[in-house]
Amino acid sequence: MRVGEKEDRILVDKVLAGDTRAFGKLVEKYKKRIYYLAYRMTRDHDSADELAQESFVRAYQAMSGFKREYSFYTWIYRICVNLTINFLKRESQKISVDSFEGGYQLLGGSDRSDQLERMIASEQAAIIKRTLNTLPPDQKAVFVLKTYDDMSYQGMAKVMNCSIGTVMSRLFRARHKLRKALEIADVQEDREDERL
Amino acid sequence: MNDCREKKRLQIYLDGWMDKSEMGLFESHLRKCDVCQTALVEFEEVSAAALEIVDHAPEREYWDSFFARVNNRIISRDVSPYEEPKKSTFRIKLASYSIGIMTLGAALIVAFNLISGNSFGPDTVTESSINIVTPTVAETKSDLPLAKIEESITVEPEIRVEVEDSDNRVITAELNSSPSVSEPQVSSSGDLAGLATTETELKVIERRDYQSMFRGPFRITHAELRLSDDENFLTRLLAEYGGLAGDDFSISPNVVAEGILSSYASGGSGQNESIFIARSNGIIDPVNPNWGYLGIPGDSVNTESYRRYMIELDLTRTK
Repeated sequence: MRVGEKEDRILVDKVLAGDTRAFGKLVEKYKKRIYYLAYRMTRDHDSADELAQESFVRAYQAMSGFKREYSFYTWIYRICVNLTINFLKRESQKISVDSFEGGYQLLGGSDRSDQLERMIASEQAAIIKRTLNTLPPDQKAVFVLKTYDDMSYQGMAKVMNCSIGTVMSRLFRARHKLRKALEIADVQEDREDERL
Repeated sequence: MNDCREKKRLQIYLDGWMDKSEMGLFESHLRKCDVCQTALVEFEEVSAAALEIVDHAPEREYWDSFFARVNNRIISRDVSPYEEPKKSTFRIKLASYSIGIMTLGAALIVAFNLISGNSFGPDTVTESSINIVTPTVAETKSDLPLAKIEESITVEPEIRVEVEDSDNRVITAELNSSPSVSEPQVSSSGDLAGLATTETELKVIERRDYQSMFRGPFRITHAELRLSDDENFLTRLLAEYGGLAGDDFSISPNVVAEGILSSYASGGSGQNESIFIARSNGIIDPVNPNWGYLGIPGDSVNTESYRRYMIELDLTRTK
């Protein structure tokens, strides 16, 4: 058992013994990860805020049923992923593909090739962001867990409550679709260039 | 369009899940294969582009007040982490599931009577019951050497259904008094190919969907098991999984184990199943690129590990 996990279990025991501050410590420790997990799946701050808070409330509520074979980290991720997937399924019509806030900026002082690379990277990021919003929630979840949390296949299988094979398959499909989106964008860009 | 059947293994390579022994071979393939090289670059591009996405960063005040807001919710809803209220809720919910669980219970009794040879009819499968039958195993036709059977062990199928309610609480219905089933222990020579050719009385376990047996706001998270005479189960499973199934189709770890057991009895055609488990040391990578992956963690080249893995899955329990 990792040190962090041991600490978490001690905190869980304290929460069950009535120590609210211990729950506060758990929330402090995981709030950013849980928020960003929900945010990266919804790309909407208000939804992510709601889902992150709700994940902790659900965790608190179900604390006595916390299984010892799980780490708290996996458990809270699982609650958040479940809530977010359900949310996305329910609200899929309402979540708009927000515009790419990052955009690209031509940075002063950098040479032209750097700027060009930066532009391409930003455009690709925008495409990935748009395409991520079109992925089925399960595929989106594994892609987010792998890409941003660098979670292992086993960890994702626990969080998603499915087999490693399913995780790999979902991840492969997600990447494949994202890759296709980049390819299509490239082709379109080439055609534009030819037309010009 | 050019393609390469090794392409699906790129993901394992990219994510650092490939064994060192395989990595050398794969990298030498990669150096020669334009298709895989291009795909690798493209996958890396996807990850790099995803990391370029600018996340919304809430203000510091947001984080500072986060716990207070969570706590307000807890207080306003009068939520408690303690056992007492959960028990009462559990009982209420359990009562609401009683019809489903009773149905399952009745089905299990029928199933156990069948496996223990009581006077029920043979091999009857109905939609509303779990049916456990002792199959006749197909004759082995493989060119591979037969695995040596060193001893028989007794395993005890554990039939259990878990459901998860809308609050992520798991409710388990379990039957512990399951009858023993003999299963052979094959030699652990390191050649798993032998597992596919074992010539014994094996039981094939098939997945069963219990969804229709329940009503209520919950989903099944873990459900098995039944014995079946369907020796082509794994082949169908793989084909469905990778080729035909929708995104919602998932293979539970138990089904992986079912697949393994199924492959024991399937005769080992050399085209799938154990052969690939053995060669890929943990990852089944079917030769047909249209098929999906099945993952088996750990040192699966060893029979003992295999068995331990299945035990870990709660599929079987040794005596």
